[in-house]
Amino acid sequence: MGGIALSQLRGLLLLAVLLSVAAAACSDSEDSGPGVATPTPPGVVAGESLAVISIGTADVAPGRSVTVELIVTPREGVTVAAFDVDIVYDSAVLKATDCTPAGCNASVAPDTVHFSSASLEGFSGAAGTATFMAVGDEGASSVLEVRVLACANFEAELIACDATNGSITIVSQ
Amino acid sequence: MLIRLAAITMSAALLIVALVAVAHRDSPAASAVAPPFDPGAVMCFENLETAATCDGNSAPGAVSDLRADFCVGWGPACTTPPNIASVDESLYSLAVLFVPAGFVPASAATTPVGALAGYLASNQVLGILNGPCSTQIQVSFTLLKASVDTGNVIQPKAAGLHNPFEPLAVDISPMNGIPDGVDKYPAFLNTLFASQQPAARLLGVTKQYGQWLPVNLVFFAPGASVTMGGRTLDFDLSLGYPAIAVIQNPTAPESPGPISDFCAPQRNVLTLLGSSSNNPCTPEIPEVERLRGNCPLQKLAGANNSSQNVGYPYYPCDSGNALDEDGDGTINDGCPQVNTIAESGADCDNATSDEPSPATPEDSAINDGCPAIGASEGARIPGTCSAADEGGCVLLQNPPSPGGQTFTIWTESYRDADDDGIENQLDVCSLVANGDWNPHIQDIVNDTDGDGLPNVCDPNPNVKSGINPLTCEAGIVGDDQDKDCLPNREDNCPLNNQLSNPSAPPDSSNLPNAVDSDKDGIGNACDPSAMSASGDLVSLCLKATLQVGSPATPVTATQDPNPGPGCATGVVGPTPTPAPVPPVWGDIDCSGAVNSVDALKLLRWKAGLVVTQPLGCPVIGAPYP
Repeated sequence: MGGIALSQLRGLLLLAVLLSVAAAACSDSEDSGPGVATPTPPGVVAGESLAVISIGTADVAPGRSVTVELIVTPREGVTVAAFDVDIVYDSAVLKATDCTPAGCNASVAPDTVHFSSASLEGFSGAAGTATFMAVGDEGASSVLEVRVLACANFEAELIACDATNGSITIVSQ
Repeated sequence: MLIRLAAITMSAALLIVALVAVAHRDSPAASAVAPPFDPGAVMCFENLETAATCDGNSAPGAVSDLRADFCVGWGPACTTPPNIASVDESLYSLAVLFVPAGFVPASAATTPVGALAGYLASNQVLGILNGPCSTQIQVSFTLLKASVDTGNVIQPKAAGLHNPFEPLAVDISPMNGIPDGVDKYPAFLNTLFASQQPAARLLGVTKQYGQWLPVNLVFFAPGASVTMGGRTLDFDLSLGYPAIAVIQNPTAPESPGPISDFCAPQRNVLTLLGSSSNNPCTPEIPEVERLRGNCPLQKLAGANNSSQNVGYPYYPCDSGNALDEDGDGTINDGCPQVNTIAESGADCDNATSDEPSPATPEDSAINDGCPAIGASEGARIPGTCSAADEGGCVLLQNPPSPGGQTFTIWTESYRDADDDGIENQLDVCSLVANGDWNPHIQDIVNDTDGDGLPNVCDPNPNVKSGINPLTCEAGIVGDDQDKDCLPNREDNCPLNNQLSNPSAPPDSSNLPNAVDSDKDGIGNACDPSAMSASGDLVSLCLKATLQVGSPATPVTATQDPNPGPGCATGVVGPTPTPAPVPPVWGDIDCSGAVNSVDALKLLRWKAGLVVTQPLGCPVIGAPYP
C-alpha cells in the first residue's frame, strides 16, 4: 500500500467513485450493450469467472419501498478492486428511488441503477444498496437483472465476473 | 540514456534497410538513414557439460544442446574482441531467434517450472553513473523454465523506484526455491504482447550494480500472429518457434539507477539445453544451503547473496557452487565438467576449496571431478523430470532424418532521429546531429565540461550540470541538468524535468516519469512526434543452417538479402502504425469508456503503485495531447 494510511485510502476511494460516476454521467449516453456480459478479460481464460456480483431478492407491499444489497463475492485469493454494474428492472413494476454508496446513480435511466466503484482495499460482501418503490399492482414482479460492464482486480486488469440476478415481488401486507 | 538490451520497438513503419545505406557519423546524410548495424551470429550443436564448445551431438534423433552466438561489434563470427572506443554500431532493439519446429518435441511443454533449461552468457558494455559507455562486464543468466499462466501475474515495482525488478528475483510467494518471476507471469509481458498466450518462457535474473536485471525469452507457436508493442507480427510458419528476448520492462518508463547506458559492442551466447537440469534449490532447502547454491532469497531488499553478474541458481559445476546438490555429504562430487583430478581420497572430501589445497589450486572449480556418489549429481544424469527432480526432461531433440535445418535471427537496430549515426538511446542530443561526439570515451572536445551533455545541446558547455538532487529515490546517479533524478546520459529528455511534480523536490512519492510512448528513445516531453517513432532503423535476417547427421561444426550466419517483414518470405513493406486512441477526458486506460477501472488506475497512481497502460495510451500525469 506504499505506506498510505487507511484514512487516506478511503478518501481516495470516495474521490475515485465520484470522479468515475461523474465522468460516466457526463459521457454521451453510454450504452450498456445488449445483454452485456463481462468483457473478455486479457490474461484470463474465457468463461473462467473470478467473482460473482449479485443483487438481492425481496417482497414489497404496494406503494411501499424496499432496499436490496449489491453483493460482491470474489473467489478465494482474488481481489475485486473495481466494478461497473447496471441493475435493470421493469419500470412498470418498480421505481428506483435511492442507492448507496454516494456516487451511484439511481436515475441514470428510467429502468436502470448504475454502480461504479473502485477501491484499493477491494470489495467483498455488500458493496452497495438500491432502494425501489413498488409502483405496480399486487402480484407483479420484476427481475433485477445484473449487467456487469467492467470488473477489475487489484492490478486494474479486467477479470471475468459472473452476474446473479435478483427480483422484487409486490405482495399484500 | 538507459536502453533495454532487447527492448521492443513499439511502433512506426518497419523499414527493411540494406546495410549499404548506413550513414557515417562524420557526414550526416541529407535524407533519413539508419544507424550502422552489422551484427554477427554463429549456431552450433553444443554440450554444456564440457569445457569445449560446439561439441554437441548432431546425430538424427539425438538430444543435444543448441548454441546461438549473437553479437554486435564482434565481427561476423563473433570472435573479434572489439576496440570499444572505435565501435560505432547501434545496439540491437529487437532480437528474435526462430527454432525450427522439428527440434521441439511435445514433451518440452510438460517440463516442470523451475527446471534449468538454458544459459545465457553475455559480454556487455555499460555506461556507469553518467560516464562514457565503456565499462565492459561479463554477465551470465541461468535460464529457468517459467510459468506461462498469463492469468497469474507478478508486477515489478512502480516505475521510478530503485531496483524495480526485485519482486521478480526473490522467492517469497510461494517459497519454493524458485524466483517469483519464474512462478508467475510478469504482468508487463501481457501488456507487451497484448495478453497473447506464449508457448513457453525462460527467465533468468542477474544482479548488476545492486539491481536485478531480468531476461525473459518468450516462445510463441510457429506461425503465430503476435501483437508486440502495437505491431502485429505475422511470423512465418516455416521459421519455427519465435523466441523473443525481452530484457527488463520495455513498456515502463525509465527508472533511475547506476547504469546509465547499454551500448554496442555486445556479445551474447545463448545455450538452450536439450535435456533439462535439476534445480538444486528445489524442493525448498535450508538457508545455509541456499547460499551455497546461489539460490533466491526469501525476503525483499536483502537479496544480496547473489554473486555479482551471475544469475541464480548456479549450475551444478559452476566454480562458485558450494552446494551439496545430491545431499550425500560431499560437495559437488562427480561433476563431469573439467580437469578430472583424484577420483578418491581427500580431494573428494566436503571442503569448499579448490583441491588439492587453496595454496595450490587445481583449476578454480571447487572439488570438481570427484566420483559420482548418490543417485543424481544435480546434472542431467539421470533426472526424473518431476517436480522433485526437474532434470532429464527432453526440451530439444534433433529431427529424425539427416539434412539441413535453418535457424533464423530477426534483429533490428535502434533508431536515429538526427541521422548522425548515433542511435537515439545512446545519443544525449538525439535531435541535434553531433556525429563527432564519441559516446564511448570521455570526449572533452565535444563535451567540454564532461557532464554527459555534449556541447551542441548543453546550455552551459563549460559548466558541469552538477549531481542529481540528494533526495532522489535512487541515490546519487550523476550529473543531472534538469534535476529530475535521471542523470543526463540516462535521461531521454535531459533538459526537461520529468518528475511527476516538477515544481516539488523529488522523493519516494515524486518520481521521474520519463514516458516515451513510441519507444524511440526520445521522451514525450521533448519528442516532436511523441506517438510516432523518430528516425529509421535497420532490420535484418540472419540465417544459419545446421546439418543433422553430419559432424557438428559451428555455422556462421549470413544475411538474407531479400527478407520479407519479420524474416518471412514475401513482399517487403511497411508495417502499419496503429492509430493512437483519441483521448477522452477521464478515460485513463483508453478503453473508450470512462468507468471504475479508470478510477482504480487513478487510485493506484496516487498510491504510488504500478499503473500499466495499453501501448499508445498516455500514462497518467503525461501532458494532455
